[in-house]
Amino acid sequence: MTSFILPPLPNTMKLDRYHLEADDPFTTFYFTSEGPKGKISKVVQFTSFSESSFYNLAMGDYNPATGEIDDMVVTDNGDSEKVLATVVGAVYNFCEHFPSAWVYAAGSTPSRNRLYRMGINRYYEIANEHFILLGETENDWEPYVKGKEYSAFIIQRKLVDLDYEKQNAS
Amino acid sequence: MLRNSEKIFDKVQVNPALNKYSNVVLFPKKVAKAKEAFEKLGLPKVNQQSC
Repeated sequence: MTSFILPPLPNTMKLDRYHLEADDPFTTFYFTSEGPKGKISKVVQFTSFSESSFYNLAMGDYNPATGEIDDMVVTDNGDSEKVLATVVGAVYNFCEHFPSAWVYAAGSTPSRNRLYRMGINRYYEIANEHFILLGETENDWEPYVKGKEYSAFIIQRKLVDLDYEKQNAS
Repeated sequence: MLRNSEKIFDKVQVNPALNKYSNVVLFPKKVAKAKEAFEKLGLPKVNQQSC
């Protein structure tokens, strides 16, 4: 019988990131951004809306005083790289629990979309090793082309054939 | 699965207080946009086993 497992993450992806907390089904994640603007609570949520394995990824600032979540706000807390790395950590963790999930991500604004694209482009080789990366076009999904502008992305964690790994290790 | 997860990233701590959000859509506008894409394009047709 062939067994599949998610491939391990290389040390190069051990980026500085915030401590993550999650709910029990591992679909809602929480962390605190720290910077010149102070401590800002962030929530990341993976939402499915059908019986399929299609999930939406969204992130926003959480206001503990009002309980409101704002995904349009530009926090500008000087830690966008660390925040992005933390969201990537949430994606990895989510995919460990939902390995067949397709995760759809679209920025709330063109500038946030650009930030996501820059993140993918910067770590494209590693991301491509671990995920199937597709970009949304007018009529279809297409394999992600580095540098090309997309309105949204969709990813799925790649699986490794353990039997193949074992055969090649021996 | 969790064992592997711990190897890959720092362990994610479960916070039961977050469970109240598990069945709540926190980003309805984003989800509506994703739903549009799903209804228009469907799931990508990629066979993992052929990757």
